[in-house]
Amino acid sequence: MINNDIKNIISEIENEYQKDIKLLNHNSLYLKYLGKKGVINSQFKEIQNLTQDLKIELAKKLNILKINIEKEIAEIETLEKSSKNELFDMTIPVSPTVSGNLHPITIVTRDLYQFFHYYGFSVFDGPEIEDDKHNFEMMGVPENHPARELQDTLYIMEPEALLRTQTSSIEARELEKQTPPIRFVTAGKVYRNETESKSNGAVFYQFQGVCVNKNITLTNLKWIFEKSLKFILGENTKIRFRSKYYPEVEPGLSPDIQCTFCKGDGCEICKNRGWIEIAGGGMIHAKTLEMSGIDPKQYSGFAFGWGLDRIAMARFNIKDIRLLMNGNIIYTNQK
Amino acid sequence: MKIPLNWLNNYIKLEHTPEEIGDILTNLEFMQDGPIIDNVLDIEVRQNRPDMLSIIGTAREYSAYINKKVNYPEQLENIEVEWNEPKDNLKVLNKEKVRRFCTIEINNIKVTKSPEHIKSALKSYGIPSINNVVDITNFVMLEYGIPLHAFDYKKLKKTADNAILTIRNAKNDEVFETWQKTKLTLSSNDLVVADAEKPVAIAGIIGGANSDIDEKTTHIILEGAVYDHSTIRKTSLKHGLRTDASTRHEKILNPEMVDTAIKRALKLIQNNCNGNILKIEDFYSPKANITSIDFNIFEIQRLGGIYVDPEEAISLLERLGFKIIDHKNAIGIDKNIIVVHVPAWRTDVDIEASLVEEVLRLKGYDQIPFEQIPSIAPDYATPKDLQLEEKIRDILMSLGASEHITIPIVKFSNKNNQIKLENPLNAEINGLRTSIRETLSIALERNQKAGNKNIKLFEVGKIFKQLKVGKYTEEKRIETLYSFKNLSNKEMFAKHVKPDFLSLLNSLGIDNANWIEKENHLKYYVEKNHIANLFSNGYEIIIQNLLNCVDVSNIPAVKIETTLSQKIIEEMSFIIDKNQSLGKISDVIKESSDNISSVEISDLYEDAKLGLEKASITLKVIFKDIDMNLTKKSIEEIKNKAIDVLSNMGIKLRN
Repeated sequence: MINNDIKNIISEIENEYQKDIKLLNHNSLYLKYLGKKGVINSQFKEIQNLTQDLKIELAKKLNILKINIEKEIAEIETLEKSSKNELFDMTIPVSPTVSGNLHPITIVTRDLYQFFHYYGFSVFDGPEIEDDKHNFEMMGVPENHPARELQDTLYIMEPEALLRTQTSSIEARELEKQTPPIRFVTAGKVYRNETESKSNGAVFYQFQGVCVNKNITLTNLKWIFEKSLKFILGENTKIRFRSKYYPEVEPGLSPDIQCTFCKGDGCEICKNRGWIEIAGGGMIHAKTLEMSGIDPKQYSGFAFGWGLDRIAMARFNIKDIRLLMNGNIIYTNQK
Repeated sequence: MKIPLNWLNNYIKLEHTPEEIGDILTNLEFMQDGPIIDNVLDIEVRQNRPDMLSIIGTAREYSAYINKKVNYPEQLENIEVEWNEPKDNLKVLNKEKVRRFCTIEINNIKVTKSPEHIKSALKSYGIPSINNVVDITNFVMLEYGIPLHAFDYKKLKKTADNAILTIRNAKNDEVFETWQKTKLTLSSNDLVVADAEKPVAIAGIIGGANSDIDEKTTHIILEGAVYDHSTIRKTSLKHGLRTDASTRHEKILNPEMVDTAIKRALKLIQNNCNGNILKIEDFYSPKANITSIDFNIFEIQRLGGIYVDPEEAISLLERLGFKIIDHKNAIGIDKNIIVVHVPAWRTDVDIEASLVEEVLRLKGYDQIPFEQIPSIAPDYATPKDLQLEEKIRDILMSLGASEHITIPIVKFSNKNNQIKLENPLNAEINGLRTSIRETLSIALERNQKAGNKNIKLFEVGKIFKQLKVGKYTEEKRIETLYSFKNLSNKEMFAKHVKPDFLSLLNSLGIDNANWIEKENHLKYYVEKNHIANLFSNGYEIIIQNLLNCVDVSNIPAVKIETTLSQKIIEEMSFIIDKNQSLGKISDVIKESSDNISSVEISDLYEDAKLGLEKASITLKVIFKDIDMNLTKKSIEEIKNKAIDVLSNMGIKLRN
C-alpha cells in the first residue's frame, strides 16, 4: 500500500461523511461512523494487515479524522437539541402573515357555482357588448315594447351596439348554440344608464340559471329556487312563490323571502310589504325557444335570475352598494 | 295603483278584510306595495297589465278569486246618433301613430259641481274635483283604465279648411302650454291634438291651457283614444311628463275598450250634466280582432307540472273573463283542446302558455309541488378559459394579492382604439377601458391613502377596443398592481413583482417562456403565444393566449424531486456597464451547464471607484447536484467557462 492509497481511504470516508451530514441526524451519524461496528472502527480492524509504517501512518490519520468527526457530531447534537428546546418569549406581538383575498362578489358567485355544480349545472360566459337581438328581442322585448322602460340602456351605437342590461343575453346565446339537454348558470356585470345611489349602481352583478329538456316544469323551478335560496340565505328562510311578469318567461314564477326583521308583519326595511322580492323566473317563453332553434312543443325549460350585489352586501355587512366596485374596498388583513 | 276599497266595493261586494284583500291580490300577481292607509290599497302593476290600472280591473281579479260576478256600472246604450268616419270634427294626419280616436260632440251641457259619490271617489284616489265634466273623464279613466278627455268646443279655433280637431305631429319648436300653465317646446316626434291654430293637447299625455272645461262651457267634444304606445312613452320621457293618462297610454291598450269607456262616460254625462249628442266621428284603424287561442289543456301539465282537470281549467278561465267557445275533445289526455276567446281588456294574453299562467295563478301557485329535475345532468361543459380564470385567482390569492372589481367605464380619451359611449350619464364616464390598470389604479390609490404600506391587488375583467366603426372586441384579462411604500420601484420589482410573476408561471406549469424588451415592459410569450406583459409595478395576463400553453387540469403544477440531490450555491461578482442587460449575463451563465438551476441577483451597487458608467453585480448561482456527482473541480470548470464567455463580452470578474 502506498501513501496515495491511504489518502484515498481517508478521502472516501470524508466524502461519504459530508454526504451523510445532510441526511442523517447525530445519533445515526454517531452509530455509522463512531459506533463499535462503525466505519472508523472497521477501518482500524483492517489495518492489522498492513506493514508497521503504514499502520502507524493510517492510524494517525484515522484518529485525527475520528476526533474531527466526534467534535462535529457533538456540535450537531447541540444544535439539534437547542432548536428543539430553545426557550424564548412567545408572547411577542407580531403582525399576521399577509394573505390574499377574493372579492365578495367572487366568493358569493363561487359558492353558487359549487352549489349548482352539484345539480349538474355547468358555467358559461358571454360578451358584455351586445346587440339588440340577444339583449332584447330574444328576451321578449322587441323594439318599442313597454318593458324597455324597465331598463335604461347604455349605447355604443343605438340600436345595434349596447352594453348588456341583463345576463339573459348570455342565456340567449347559449340557447342558440346548444341543443337540449341544456343546464347551466352564469354570472356577470350588467350595465344600466342610471344614476348611482346607496342602493343602486349603474353597473352591477346578476346571476342566472337555465335548464331546458323534455319534461321540465314549474315544479322543477320551484324546487331549485327553494334549494338554492335556502343555501345562500339560510335554511330557515321562508319563501313564497307567485306569478310575476317578465317578458322572457311565461308562465312566470318568482320567489319572495319573508323579511327577517319583522317576520312578515311589515316594517321599514321591507317597505311594509313583509316580504322581499329576491329573484325572477319562469318557464322560458315559447318565442325565445323558437328564436333559438329549439322546438317549444317538444322541449320546455326554466330560467331564473337574481342580483348578486345585495347578497354580497348582506353577507359581508356592506351598507353602500357602490363600495363593491368603486375601488374603495380595504381588506382588513392587508394592513 | 291605488285602489280605494270603498270604491272597489261598488263593483264587487268585498268579503275580506283589507289586509286579506292585499294578500289575495299579491298572490294573484299584484304585490301590495305599502301599508293600507285610509282604506286605500296600493298594488304594484307591471307593464303587461294596463287593465289593472283601473278599479274595475281589480274588481275582476277579486271577483274571479271569490267566484262572484262583477257589478259592471251602467252604460249608455241605444245611441241614436250615427257613428261616422272622421269628417268635419276630426282629421287624423298621422295614421301610424294613432290606432283609434273617437270624438263625441255634445251640446246643452250644464257644468256644475260633481255629485258626492264621484267627488269622494276621486278624493280617495287623490285627484282633486274640478267640475262634473272633467271629473267624469277622470272617474271613467280610473274605473276602466282608458283615459278620456273633454275639450270646450267654443274655445277651439276653427277655420273652414280644417276639421275641428286634427291629430298630427307637432311642428319642430312648436310651443305648447299645459293646463297647469307649463310651457313646453315640442318636436316632430311628439303627437298632438290640435285645433286650427295650435295644439290643444299632447296626445295621450296632457291637455292644454285654452280648451279646458270651465263653468261657462256648454258645448264639448269628448274623446277617447288609443295611440302607438312607444310614441307616447318617448314623448313622456323626453319632456318629463308622467300623468295618469300617459302611464296608461304607454302600455298596450285594446281600442275596443274605448267603446266601453265612452259609453260609460256618456251615461254619467246624461245623469249629471244634461247633454245632447250631436255628432260622433270615430277614427279606428286597423280594427281589433278578438284574440282566439286553441288551448290544449295538457299544456298546464307540460309546463306547470300539475294535472288540472278540464272542467276546473275551464271554470277558472271563465271566472277571469275568458270565453270558452268550443271544446274539441279528442281521445287521449293530451288532446283536450278548448277554443278560448280573450277578453278585450287583456292585451297580454296571446299564447297557450299565458293561459297556463292564468289557470295556475288563480288556482294558486302554492298548489304546485316541488320536484327534482327529472333528467340526468348533461356532461360537464364549463369552458377551459373559465376554469383557468378561477385557478389564476387562487394562485394570485396564495401570493398574497387581493381581488378588486372596478367599473370598466372611464373618461374617453380616444387612445388605443377606445370605444366611446353614445349616451353616458355624464362626460366623465363616456368611454370603455382599454386596460384593467386604468381603473384598478383607483383601488390602488385608495389603499395607499388608507395607509397600507405593502399592497398587491388584482382584477379579473374585460377590456374593450374598437376595430372600426360598428366592430368591437372585448377580451378577458387578469392584471395585478403592486405598491410597496418603503421600497424603490427597482427594489419592489426585484423583490416582489417579478418573483411573484415567475412563481405564477411555475404554478401554471410554464417553464419555456421567453421575453422581449419593450419600452416600459417585458412582453412574455410561449412559442408564438403572447401570454403576459410584465410592468415595473405589476403584470397583465392574456387569458385567451395563455390557454394554448397550459394544461388547465394540471394547475397548480406540482413538480416533485424523485431523485436525491443537493443544492450548491456559488457567488460570482462582476463589473458591468450600468445599462447592461442583466438578463443576458444570467443567460450566459445558465447556458454554461445543465446543472445550473437558477441565477439570482444578490447584490447590485454603484461606486465612484468602479468608474463612472460602471456598477458591481453579485450573482448567486445555484447548482443542482443530482445524484451528488458534482465535485469542487467540476464546479470550478463550469464557472471558468462562463467567466471566459463574459470576459469576451467585456464583463470582468470582480475580485
